[in-house]
Amino acid sequence: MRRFAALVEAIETSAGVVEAWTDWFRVAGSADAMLSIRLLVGGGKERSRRRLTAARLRRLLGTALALPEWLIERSLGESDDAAEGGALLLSAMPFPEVEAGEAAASERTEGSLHRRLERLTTRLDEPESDETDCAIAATLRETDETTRRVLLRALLGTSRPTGSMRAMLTGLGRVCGVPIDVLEDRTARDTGDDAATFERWIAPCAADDSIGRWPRVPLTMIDALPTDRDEAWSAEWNWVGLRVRLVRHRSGVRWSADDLEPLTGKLPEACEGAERLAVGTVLDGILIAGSMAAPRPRGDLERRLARRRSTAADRRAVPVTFVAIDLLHDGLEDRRRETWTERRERLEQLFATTLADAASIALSPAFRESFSKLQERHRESRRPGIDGLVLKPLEAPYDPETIRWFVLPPQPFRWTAVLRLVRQTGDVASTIEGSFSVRGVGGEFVPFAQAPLSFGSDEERTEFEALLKRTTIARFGPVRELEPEQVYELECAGFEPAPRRRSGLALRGVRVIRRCDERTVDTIDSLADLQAAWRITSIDPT
Amino acid sequence: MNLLVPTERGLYCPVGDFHIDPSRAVPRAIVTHAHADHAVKGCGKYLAAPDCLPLLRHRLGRGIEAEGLEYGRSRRVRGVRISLHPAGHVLGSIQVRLECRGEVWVATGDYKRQPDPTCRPFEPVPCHVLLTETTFGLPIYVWPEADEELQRIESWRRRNRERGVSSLLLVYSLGKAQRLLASLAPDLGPIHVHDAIAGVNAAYREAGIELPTTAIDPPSAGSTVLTVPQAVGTRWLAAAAPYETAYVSGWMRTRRRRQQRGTGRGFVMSDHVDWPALMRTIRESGAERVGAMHGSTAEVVRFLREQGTEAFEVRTGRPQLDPATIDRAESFDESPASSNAPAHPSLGEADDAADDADDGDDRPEGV
Ligand SMILES: [Zn+2]
Repeated sequence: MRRFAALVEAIETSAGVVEAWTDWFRVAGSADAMLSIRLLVGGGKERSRRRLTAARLRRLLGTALALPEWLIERSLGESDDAAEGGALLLSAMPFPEVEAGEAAASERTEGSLHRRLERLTTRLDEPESDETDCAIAATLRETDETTRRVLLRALLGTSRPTGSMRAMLTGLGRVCGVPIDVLEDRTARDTGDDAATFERWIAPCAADDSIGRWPRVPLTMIDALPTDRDEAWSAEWNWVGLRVRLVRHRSGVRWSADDLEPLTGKLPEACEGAERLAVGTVLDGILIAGSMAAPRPRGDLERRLARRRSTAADRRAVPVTFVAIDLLHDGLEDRRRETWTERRERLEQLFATTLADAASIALSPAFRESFSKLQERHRESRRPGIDGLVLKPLEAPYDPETIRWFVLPPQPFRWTAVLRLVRQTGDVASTIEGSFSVRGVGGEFVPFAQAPLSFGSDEERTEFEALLKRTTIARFGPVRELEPEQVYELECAGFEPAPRRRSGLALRGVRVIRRCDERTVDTIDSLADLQAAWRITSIDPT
Repeated sequence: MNLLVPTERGLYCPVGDFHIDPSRAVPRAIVTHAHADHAVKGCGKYLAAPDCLPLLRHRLGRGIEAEGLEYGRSRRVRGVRISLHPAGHVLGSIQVRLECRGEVWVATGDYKRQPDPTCRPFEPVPCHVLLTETTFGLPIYVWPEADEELQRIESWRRRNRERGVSSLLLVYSLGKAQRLLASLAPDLGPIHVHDAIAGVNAAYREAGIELPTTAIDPPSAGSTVLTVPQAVGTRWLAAAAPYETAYVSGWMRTRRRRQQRGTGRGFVMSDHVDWPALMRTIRESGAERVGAMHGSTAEVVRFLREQGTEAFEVRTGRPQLDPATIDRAESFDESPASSNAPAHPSLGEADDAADDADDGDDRPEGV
């Protein structure tokens, strides 16, 4: 029932709705799933009937909570919704004791939604009495406030089916594997309100409908390269983008991604070439903004995909490329059991023939090289659009149970900067945080990164504190501004464009390496040099 | 015998000749905690809990004459024995126990009975007369478990962060901010705080409360920011865009109140006592008479009388405000009084936050 409450809250705050439906459908029985759809999205045949009046609700609450009715009324007045008010008020009632022979409390709280509603309606049909009131209140009290509110709305006849049908169908599609257009069709035609209807909706499709479904293959992170198997690896760049599968369906090209709303209609340029593929063909790949030669930031891709349908102007502003990294189905032939070498060969053939002049579909280059050569590649794998190297075992089939693709993250970025500000927090055993600047275009200092300073020993710390005292120019509470003297070497794991910052960058995983007493402030890195060295092309630091 | 009487200037003890939480300057004041509507400038002498002193000085100025009285220790003032007991509201918050010729009165000040990592928990004090706060004195106000609500805040932050959206938590600068700061998960990136909060943090640390360090940089997209509501719209926060805001307050319990704050999002976390805990506190005190202060005084008094308990409303000189406005008053009076030091808010680039913040936000409360 927690997941149901989470779903209601997601719909009310319009946040994470598809995920919430997915989570809910994973645990809900068919009757509960159907009831939730009717209560939150609407549809169906049965009009919701009022079984509880506001006056009866007040009486019932008064009896169950042993509070005078004026106080109930006054409390309900705090809310503009009787169902919400009632749901909240019921929390003032002690959790019902579990009677002997009854199910455990946890079981009752997690109990099914439709049974609870049934129990409530049965009780409401009985003649009004203190005992009935208490039983109704107890049944409501057992569940959480959010679920209670939805149930009360159903009983008061004030349900608010404001959820999006599309989000619900997307979530449902993820769980049952039926394509969303099929679901759309079924739910529009088959408008019952019972569990059987729901089960007809989610029944598996005919054979050719199911091509788009297969398990997800994880990319596993490891720290070190297994050096003893030099020749057994093929390497590829780890493209920064969205993992998607391209499916050549009978009716056209479909895209399937694990974490997104359907991409159909959003990638017309990539569909063009793909339509030449044999029906049934499935490629695994990464969707990137720009091209392999000139990749663009991931944010551009997200902006483009956020549009419902892409216009010609969108396509000009942010072109996309589907970079193929594997072949799963070759026409109607399932190739997932074959080795990577075999699949790759066929993939290269496809790109030499059918896809030779497909503009927005590209083949990710693969390197079969010695270990030392791969190390060299790894050093190059830190650039825009690429975030390390992926290693694939040559013999591996495309099997989610056994496949291991290793991602080698790129080396961290390093630079030197001058310490300009420190903030000391606490008195004893305090932490000292520094703000480090690099040189701007006009020679000025530009704040670039912030990181805590650490000390190997008490002596080091004492020495540093003396240095602090000597070089302080000004103090603002716990913050000191320092003479620009101390040079530090720092590193970070990566960066994102941040146009609002003077440096234009937001750094990830910043760490101080050491203080460089041998260097003077004239030798610190400049923003321009860093941009060149890190090949930052997509930001405007002005 | 009336050990405490309501006056224009607040609760007054005629036998001991001192005030509790006066609303205007008086010669001698016992201050239950450092919130703006309980601690005013200009009193001759202040008596408070020792860990309240750094906060009082932060709020009222270094120069005030303030003395700490250890929790549970008593002191005799003109025939009244005074002792202070933890109230669990914010750091240094107390209940005041007065004893005179065998009669015991307790004024709770603001209090809560939920756990809070930044202050001592409430201790029930038996008494004959209990003056309790009733800010949330209606049975609809029942707080969710603190952990439960914290989990909701965390999943909200996590989802925002995954989308590159900043999470702005709008809180009181004193109390709620520190309670949250001490409770939020450290692995969801650095937490940025508004300078009004940073100043209070320093006072908390001075009082020996450990708080996680906060980011010096101005916030950027995907950050978590603890801020006072008036800073929304300033340049300092513009750097955090895009962002989502959420109030953290007991008033967030109903949708109507959430909408009054102009936010669909709200988290129910209060430093005040809720209905069940209020009833429990009254029961545990064993009091023969109960005075209700702030908020739903009339309702609580009527209810207690109907239950056979002698009860009365305590109306002091403090202007009677809509409860939601009291909430605002506490969060909006943020400027530290001791402004000898230059107001240099934060490291980095957004030096204008404090100035903007002082412009205040005079938008009327929604209806
Ligand atoms: Zn307070």
